[in-house]
Amino acid sequence: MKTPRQVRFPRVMAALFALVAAAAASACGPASESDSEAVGGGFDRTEGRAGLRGLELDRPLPVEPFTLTGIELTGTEPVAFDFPDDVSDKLALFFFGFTNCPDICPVQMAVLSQALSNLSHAERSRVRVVFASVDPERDTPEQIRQWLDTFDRRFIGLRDDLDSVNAVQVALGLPPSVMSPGGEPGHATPVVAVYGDSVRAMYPMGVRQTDWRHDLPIMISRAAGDGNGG
Amino acid sequence: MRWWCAAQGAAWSWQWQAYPGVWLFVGAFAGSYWLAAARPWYDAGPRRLLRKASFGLGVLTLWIALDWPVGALGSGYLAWVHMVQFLLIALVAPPLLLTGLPARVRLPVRPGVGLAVFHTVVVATHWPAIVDGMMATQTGSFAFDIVWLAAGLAFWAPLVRPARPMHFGMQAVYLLASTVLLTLPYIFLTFAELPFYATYELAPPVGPLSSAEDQRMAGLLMRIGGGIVLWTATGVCFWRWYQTDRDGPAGGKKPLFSTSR
Repeated sequence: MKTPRQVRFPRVMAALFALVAAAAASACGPASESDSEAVGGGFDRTEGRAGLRGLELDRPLPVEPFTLTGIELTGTEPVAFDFPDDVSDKLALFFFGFTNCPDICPVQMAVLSQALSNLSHAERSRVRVVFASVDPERDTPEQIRQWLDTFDRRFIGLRDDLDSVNAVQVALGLPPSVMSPGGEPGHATPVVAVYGDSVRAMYPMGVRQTDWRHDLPIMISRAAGDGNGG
Repeated sequence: MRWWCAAQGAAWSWQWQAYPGVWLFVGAFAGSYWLAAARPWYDAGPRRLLRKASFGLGVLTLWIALDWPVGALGSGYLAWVHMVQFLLIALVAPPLLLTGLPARVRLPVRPGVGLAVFHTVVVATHWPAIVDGMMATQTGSFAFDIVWLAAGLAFWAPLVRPARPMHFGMQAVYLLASTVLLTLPYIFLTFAELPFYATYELAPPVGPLSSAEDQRMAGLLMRIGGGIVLWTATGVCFWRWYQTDRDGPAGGKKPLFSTSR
């Protein structure tokens, strides 16, 4: 009876394993620059001057009063949204996006809604989240209301003509939205924090629940006070 | 074209994606076995078909865990799918692959080393900074998968292909210790107030779960899925212990999954 030979790893297969390892080591480092951004690697969590983790403005940016057409919270009828009357003494968080957005808009809204759910009832009642569509042609009031309700039924939806929405974006320190040749709106990604009638901080994509959890109580108390904090 | 699944930050699509690195890797596994098994000296023992089937199942498990859609979803979108990948690569595939080796093959991995390596890797590869840092690149994601597989092989080798078989009682202790050690990451994942991983918290949404629910699901899967594998192995251990005592002189030192007579 033959003694079994020592089992050896076939050389061809060893070469194949080496090839895979070499490919790993050289060819494909970061898939792209944006990859690390996509997982929050690009957001600096250092606290700013006034103790916020969001990107604080050196000087508050005053916002002139404006009115946009909104959608009622419990239906789809149009209602007027007046700034600053509808958010006075409250922290207002503005976000500009569209309901068909596949990535940034739902992520920003989901992170924000989950962070808000950790607040006490009293704190939560002092925050208004305002979503304004930058794709009013496709975003019907029903779509906007339904989309917002998947995050939080208290989120306010705005749907007005794009020029009016863009004017508000500019007033809040954001660039106006533009339609790409493919028909998809390009838009700014930060959530804009406003209190005391002024823009105070921006929260770009990459901000996490832990950052919101840190900043929200600070901004809520400032908004409820004289509004000049920061 | 991407060669290995990694977090992309792009919206999820159910459109099929090719990952040639996965095919090459899995093909290398299957091919090396096929080439070796074709030689008469490789495995002439009884039940060799069973061993071949076991190795084939192991390779299939690896392929499912690494390729689209499981690999793509797990590397960049859903923490619970990432956990499914971990369970398949580290806990299911290794015993199948090891069982598929010829009965005479023995791996000199000491139980203490196997246990330490496996659980160190479990903790390290569930550490938020490491997960977020590694999963963003194909290289990092590839390294994760390789480390899981290597740790799984190290963990199962003392049970399935030991150089010196442990007593069945010690095998049971080894497995039970692992169920206890897996409880730690389970607790952190399941009961955390906030999501640990930026990768999954900031991933474009797939399905109805929030990032917190996704993480909780991952923790439960670690507990339940890992528990099923380890408790099943413990059950096999006790059964083999009983069989050995019943059929022959007591001794109780045999590999856990034996495909030799």
